[in-house]
Amino acid sequence: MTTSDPALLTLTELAAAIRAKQVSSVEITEALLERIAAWQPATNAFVRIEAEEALALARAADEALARGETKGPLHGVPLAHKDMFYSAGKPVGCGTKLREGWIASTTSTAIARLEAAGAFRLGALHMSECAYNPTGHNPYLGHAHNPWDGTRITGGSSSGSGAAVAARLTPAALGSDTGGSIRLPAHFCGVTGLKTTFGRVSRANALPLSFTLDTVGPLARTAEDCALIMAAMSGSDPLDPATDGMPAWNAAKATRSPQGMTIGLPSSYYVDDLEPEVAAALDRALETFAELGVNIVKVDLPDQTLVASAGLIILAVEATSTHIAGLRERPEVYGDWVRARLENGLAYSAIEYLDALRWRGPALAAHLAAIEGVDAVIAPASREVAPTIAATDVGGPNAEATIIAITRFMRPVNFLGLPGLVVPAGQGETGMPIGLQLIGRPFGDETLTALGTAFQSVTDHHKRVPSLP
Amino acid sequence: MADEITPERIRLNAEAARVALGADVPARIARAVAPVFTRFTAEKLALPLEVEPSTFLVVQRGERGGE
Repeated sequence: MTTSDPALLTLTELAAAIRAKQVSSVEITEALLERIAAWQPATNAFVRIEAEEALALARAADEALARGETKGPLHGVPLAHKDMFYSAGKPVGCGTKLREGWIASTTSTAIARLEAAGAFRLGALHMSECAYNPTGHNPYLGHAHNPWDGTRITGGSSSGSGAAVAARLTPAALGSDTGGSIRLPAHFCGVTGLKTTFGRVSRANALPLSFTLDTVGPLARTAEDCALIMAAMSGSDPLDPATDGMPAWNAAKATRSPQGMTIGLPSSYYVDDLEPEVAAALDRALETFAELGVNIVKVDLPDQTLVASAGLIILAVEATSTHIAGLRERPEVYGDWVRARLENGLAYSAIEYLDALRWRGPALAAHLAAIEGVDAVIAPASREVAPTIAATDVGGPNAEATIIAITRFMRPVNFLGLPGLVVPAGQGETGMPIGLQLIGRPFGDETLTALGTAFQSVTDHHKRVPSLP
Repeated sequence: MADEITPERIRLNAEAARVALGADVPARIARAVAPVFTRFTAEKLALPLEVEPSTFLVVQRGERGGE
């Protein structure tokens, strides 16, 4: 252990410290609850704090450990997750008035697997309404605020997950990523986030948005921590057909040396029109990977504007279909922005939607041909650091343009079902974090965490901690 | 027929979906989706008859040997 404050330990360090009885589950739970109480007014990261229940579970974990019993690799670790993962008997709000007072009767597979590994809940984290907003605005529950600067967005839709991990209120958190909802908060808040290969993690009993594009994944301090979460929760689940036949996590691949791996730098799109501080972070990261023995090559990707457009059409239509009953019968329960986006899905014809869906396979084949011999593509997560909440306010006429700009580097990854890991890679002039994205091959999640772990072994961007305002 | 999103088309789609839209909403939607719609339809994709949505899974899972 390298710190006297257990809240500052990474998930990997914390789980090991609990097992070694260097810190008790009660001690870490109390430390996190103390930080949550201090940070909640500044971040609005939590929608529910379950202090008494968490402390009771922590005591039970400590007592089990004293008897020589451990549930698994996350024994006694308190975690909090985006408020869209169902836990039987608990309210799950999904950031929307639509689910006001709703009590889940089932538990999400992802949560059940983390609990089987020994983790328990601290509470539930804030999110964008219906997981359908990339900024973190939420007119119903109030906006989430970036812990580095409360006037700025957290990114969304996993807004509370990004803010809470950054402020060290939970060692890790689950999010979902349909169009950047894990990677954008990771970038804007300065944490590590893994958008998983489509099908690697079960989405059963979590709020759906787009069944073709939805994925579940972790946000944490480090890539190593993301791997620890993935080891516990990835793999096939009969409740989610998309996971059928999916491989279990391969820990050996997730920790291998990056020496001799190849990273592809796109020749266009992802490197166009970047803010200088983002471009500089990208250049420094390339130098770092080269020093780690990684080969860097240029890649010419297929037209990403077309790929992104196809993804947006699928998202628009499927989100509208998911919410069609609400849109017909209770449109007033949606905030203006989400209702407008749901209405946008009415624009497309069945032929356009199915053309986009049918093209997904050929588009992935073309992408794989373009990155032959490449283990991962490197790209910025966004062209800029977190903008202010006011500048991205969604009530204006340019809301859709704002969304498209913020999610520019996100959507191709979702459409192609690829994994994407965002790691902190610098900070801008204002001190706001800058994240970079490693885009893998299908099922290359382990390769991404290996690259991320190696990068974080020689950099310290992920160790920066925001100060309480 | 030109590939164009018009408020009239959106109004008809909404009627078919039984969603009530305000009078000025179809025009707003048309403006909002125009960049995406225009980019996608400009490509005039000509997909082989055999390509279906689950072709994606075939391509994706063809990668499993490499990982």
